[in-house]
Amino acid sequence: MPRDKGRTKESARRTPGGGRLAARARGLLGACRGTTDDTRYIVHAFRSSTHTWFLLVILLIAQITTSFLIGYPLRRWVVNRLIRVANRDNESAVRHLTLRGHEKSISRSDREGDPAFLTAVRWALENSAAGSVIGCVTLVLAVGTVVSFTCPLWWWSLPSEYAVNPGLYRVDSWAAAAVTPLVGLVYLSLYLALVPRSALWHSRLAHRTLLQRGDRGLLARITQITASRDDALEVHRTELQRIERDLHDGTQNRLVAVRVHLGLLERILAEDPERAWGLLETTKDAADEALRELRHVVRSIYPPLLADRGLASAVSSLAARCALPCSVEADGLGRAPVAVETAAYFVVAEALTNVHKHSNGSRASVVLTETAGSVLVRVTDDGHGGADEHAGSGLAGLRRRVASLEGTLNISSPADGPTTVEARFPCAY
Amino acid sequence: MRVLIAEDDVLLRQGLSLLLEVEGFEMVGAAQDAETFLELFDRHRPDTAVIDVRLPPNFSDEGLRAAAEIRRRVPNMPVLVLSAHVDHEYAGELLGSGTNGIGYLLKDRVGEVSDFVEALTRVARGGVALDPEVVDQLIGGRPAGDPLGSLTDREHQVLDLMAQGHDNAGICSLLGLSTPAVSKHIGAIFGKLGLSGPGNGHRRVQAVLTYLRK
Repeated sequence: MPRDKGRTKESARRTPGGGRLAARARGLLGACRGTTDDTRYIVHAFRSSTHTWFLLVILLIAQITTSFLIGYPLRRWVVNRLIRVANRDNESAVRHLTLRGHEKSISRSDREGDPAFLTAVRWALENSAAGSVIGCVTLVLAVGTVVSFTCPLWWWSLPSEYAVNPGLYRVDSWAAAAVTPLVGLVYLSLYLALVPRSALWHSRLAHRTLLQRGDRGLLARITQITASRDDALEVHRTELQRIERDLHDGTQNRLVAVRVHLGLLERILAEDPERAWGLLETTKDAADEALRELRHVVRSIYPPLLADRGLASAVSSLAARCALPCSVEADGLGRAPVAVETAAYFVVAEALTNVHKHSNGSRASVVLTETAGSVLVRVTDDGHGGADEHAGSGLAGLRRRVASLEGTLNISSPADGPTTVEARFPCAY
Repeated sequence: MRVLIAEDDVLLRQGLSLLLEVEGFEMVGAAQDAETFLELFDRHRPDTAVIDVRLPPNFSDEGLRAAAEIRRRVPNMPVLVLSAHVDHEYAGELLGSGTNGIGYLLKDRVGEVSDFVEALTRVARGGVALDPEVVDQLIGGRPAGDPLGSLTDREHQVLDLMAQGHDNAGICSLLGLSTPAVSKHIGAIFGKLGLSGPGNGHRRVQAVLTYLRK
């Protein structure tokens, strides 16, 4: 019957000025198709729920008779059936979630092997209730819709003692029959409203129950790793892009400038030696600039001091080059993984740049410590606070970089200062 | 010849201007971004333009778009596009707006002053100057069984120079061959590639490129 409604709307498309109507009709057609999928899902759930009732009863008998000869094989048979039903239900739930665009609710961990016996029984108990309830509700609404809509066509053919009662009254006159399609509309609306929701609810319930038991922690971990991997890929992409830009638009341009000036020199050396001397200076400057750029690019990728001496030395050097007085405290810091050291280094570098540029402070302090398998970096200033992470991309980029290593970045910057930037990186994975 | 340039790098912009002046071009302006470039273009209507592909604000392909824009305003406007890296896809886009007066060179080539000046002059006269690297990309990596595979090494060299935009005389002097020898090679190339008709100036580049871009 949802399709009937679609057709009515379709004919409306042909009426003048029906552009919006046509769009609505298309939307409605889509919704009807969706409802058909929902209905199919519920039919499956209902069937499987009745099947489960039957199996649960047999299981009960098998449990009672286990002491007799017949009990044991019967129990094994019923357990296998329960597991197979559970498997099918999960597949159907996953298919339904995918079909209805709820892929996000689907756990990415593919279940290996069958659900355990207890999970299957738990699901059997849940579904014997859930599947039956939504199945019955759907059935009642479907029958109600069909009966109410078609009632005017056949009510007169029934003997008067069997008059239908689609709602709150008996259909025993033409007047009563004429009103039943309105009741049908109520049934249809309820159907359209309830069926998709119940199907979604049931498929989620099934999927959640039938996930590998006991591995919720593992799942959470996978979600976490997936998120940090996404961050890592994003950080990697922006880094590559930045390096390409720096090399092409910076270093290479400087070198091209050197080359252009050399070419010029070659041309004018004989005719205008005076001018050539001046050009020579410019050329040298361009070459120096190219080298400076190159050093800058290298430092921005992986600071050489960090590679040679580790985080404490590299940060000390950073502090020494900082425009403001900056103290560094680095106690008992061993070597951490390269990625962690690099990220920690850039947290300090970015924070110190911000202190200098935005905080209006007079000094900064850096603390590096290693506790319980994690490296902690803290940069504090004495300036006015109010640092806004969303104003520039600097802090947001840092957060991403820290998150890509499953670390956490805390920025505390009350309006009257001071600002503290703190990053913690786990080192024992 | 009146030239307008667009280059964001200060040092390079100055060097390029100086170089063109020394080589006897008249510099009508040097813009640091595409917007200024288009403004100066409308004001001065230069004979030819030299544009860097990457320009502010986004440093992506503003230069290419500026080149397309001035060729939309003045059909067949000679443009020489400079880039830190060359790719045949960009070359295809440039040549899509017609093969009159188009140049696409690596920035590095500017340092070889006489070649650069020659290329710029060729472009200004309505010719083509493609970077050898683009031509290599186009000619190299052809699948086996491709008619290009049947070319001899010498013919490859000749085709390479042709695709860069050199005329017969240029090819003769560059390869140290006589004019009839070069003509013979070109005839052979057209024969093997299945192209017929007189091969002259940029028209044959067009023919070669049309074929290569397939």
